Amino acid sequence: MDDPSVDELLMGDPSSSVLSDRLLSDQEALTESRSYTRLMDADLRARLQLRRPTSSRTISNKSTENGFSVWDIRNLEYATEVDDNLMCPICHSPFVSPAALKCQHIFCRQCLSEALSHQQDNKTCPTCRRPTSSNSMVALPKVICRMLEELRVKCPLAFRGCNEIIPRGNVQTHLDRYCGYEEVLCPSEDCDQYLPRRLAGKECLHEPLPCPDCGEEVSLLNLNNHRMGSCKVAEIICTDCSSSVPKSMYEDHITSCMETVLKCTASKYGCDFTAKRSVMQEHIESCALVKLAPTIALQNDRLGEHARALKHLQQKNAVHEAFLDTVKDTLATIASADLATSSLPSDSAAPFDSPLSHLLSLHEALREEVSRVSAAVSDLDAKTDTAFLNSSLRAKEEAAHRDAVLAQLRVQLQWLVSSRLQGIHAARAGAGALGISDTRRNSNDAESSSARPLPSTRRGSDGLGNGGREKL
Amino acid sequence: MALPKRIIKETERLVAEPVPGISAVPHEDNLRYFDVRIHGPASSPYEGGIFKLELFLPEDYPMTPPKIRFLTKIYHPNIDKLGRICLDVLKSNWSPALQIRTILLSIQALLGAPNPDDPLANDVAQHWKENVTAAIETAKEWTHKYATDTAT
Ligand SMILES: [Zn+2]
Ligand SMILES: [Zn+2]
Ligand SMILES: [Zn+2]
Ligand SMILES: [Zn+2]
Ligand SMILES: [Zn+2]
Ligand SMILES: [Zn+2]
Ligand SMILES: [Zn+2]
Repeated sequence: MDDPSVDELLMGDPSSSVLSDRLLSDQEALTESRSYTRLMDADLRARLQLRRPTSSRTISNKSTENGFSVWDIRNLEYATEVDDNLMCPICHSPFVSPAALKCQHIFCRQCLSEALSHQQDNKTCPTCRRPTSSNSMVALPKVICRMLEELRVKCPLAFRGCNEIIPRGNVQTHLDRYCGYEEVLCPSEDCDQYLPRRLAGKECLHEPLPCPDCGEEVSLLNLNNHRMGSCKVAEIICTDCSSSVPKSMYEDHITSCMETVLKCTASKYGCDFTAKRSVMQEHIESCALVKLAPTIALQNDRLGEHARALKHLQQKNAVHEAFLDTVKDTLATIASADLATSSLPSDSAAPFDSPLSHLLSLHEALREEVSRVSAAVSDLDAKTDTAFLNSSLRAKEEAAHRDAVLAQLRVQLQWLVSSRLQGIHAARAGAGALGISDTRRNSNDAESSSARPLPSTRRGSDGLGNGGREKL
Repeated sequence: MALPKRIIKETERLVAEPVPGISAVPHEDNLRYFDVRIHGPASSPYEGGIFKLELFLPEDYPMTPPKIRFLTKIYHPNIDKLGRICLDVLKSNWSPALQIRTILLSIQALLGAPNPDDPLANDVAQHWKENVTAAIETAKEWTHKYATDTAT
């Protein structure tokens, strides 16, 4: 008898193929509902990039004590998006050693005790305000804490250049043993200074050496910084003319280097000419576009002005047209009203008064109509808003439900497969026993032992299948 | 002191998903200080007005509530001459689980539902209790005078 692989088992059994189909379709629905969220996330992240200087300021504030970095777990940068359900409502970061209150609300232990200590005598849950006390905090199950410690974070020394991404629980170990950017004690026995771990070899890098450029005494560790910064003599090689230029002169050199390739100053008006600075002057003197440039710029400005004026006029015109329409409408109604009144035997005391008052009342009625319409529009607005909110909430709930179903299905599948495999193993064992012994009693025993587990397995799987379906 | 992550996150969210009718923009040089604008709620005496407020997050925010004050003059029984606001969640009922956005929403709601029984500006509350119509009329006038574009 061949040993069927797990795949064959899955494909062969119709019930499990249905299961896997469902799994797939569920997964599809899940990814679809998530892609929208991801879109929003991307937008947020773009804005986040804009604010990056702020957040990096928080990180670089990390102080160094005796050479070793002091870091705050709440300031860690997470490498991936963390589920909103894992966020502490107080610090808005993933929970750190979470604790729950009787009302089932969860916070970081430290956040919660700090919040409770800020309350007067009657302590209440920060989320639901139910009465509570500091000693009714309960730690969450270990498995959840472990999952939280598995969350991937960036090394706290990322601002120094470390690119490591590590589980949150391993940050201290990473810094203590592995991080190349952490400061460690100099390997030399006579030196009590620190240097980054990645540079720590056998020798001391702190011994002062004369700078090859200016002769000032600098440690090997700082030589690069010195030559790029404070060294007065170091030279920089110009990429255009490849001559080495003293650092202090470099600024002047790059704005005057004769070998630098430039575009014609009238390039934005259509001159394609490019040449080294040494010959550019000659071109500029003869280039027609350079001569025309001021005029073109002036024309451009005027065109822009005209476009703006035109737009303004168009807007005004639209307003006037709308006004004209209303006037026409009013006139039409007046005309018809006039006809109606003139056909009547008119004996009113003030014949000039009535059309005027009629006009006024019409105006009033129109105004009321407009306000009613605008109220209806804002009403409609509010309704669509709530409808949209409701539907998105429902979608979210559905996604959560799908998640749960998915997890359940996975468990069921595993259960099915393992029970199947067990059955096969039992059957094989039975067959082996038959081959060795010939006596009736033994074969009976083997049969019964191989037959017994099967029905029970089936019953078990049916029961579980039903249970699963009921929940679905 | 470094800006806590929570403040950065809240600010990002305020900018990314602003609350309708409310804007809060942090100062470039002090990220704990916000310029706030609240639109008066519809069918309230403050409708059509845009009210400026200042919001400051104290050092121990979110353990203590944000400090917030109206800069635009407003005729309201729960807001005094100095723009201070009588709102329980800004004082004894503050919880660190609340956020800037929830506080601003509560203030907008307070504009829609003045409560003269829990006054901060006693004369205004008195006016409100004795003659609601006249008080609302005054509130409308003030809104027009101080909280619209034409106001100087
Ligand atoms: Zn927390
Ligand atoms: Zn609670
Ligand atoms: Zn590192
Ligand atoms: Zn050394
Ligand atoms: Zn030097
Ligand atoms: Zn050069
Ligand atoms: Zn040219």
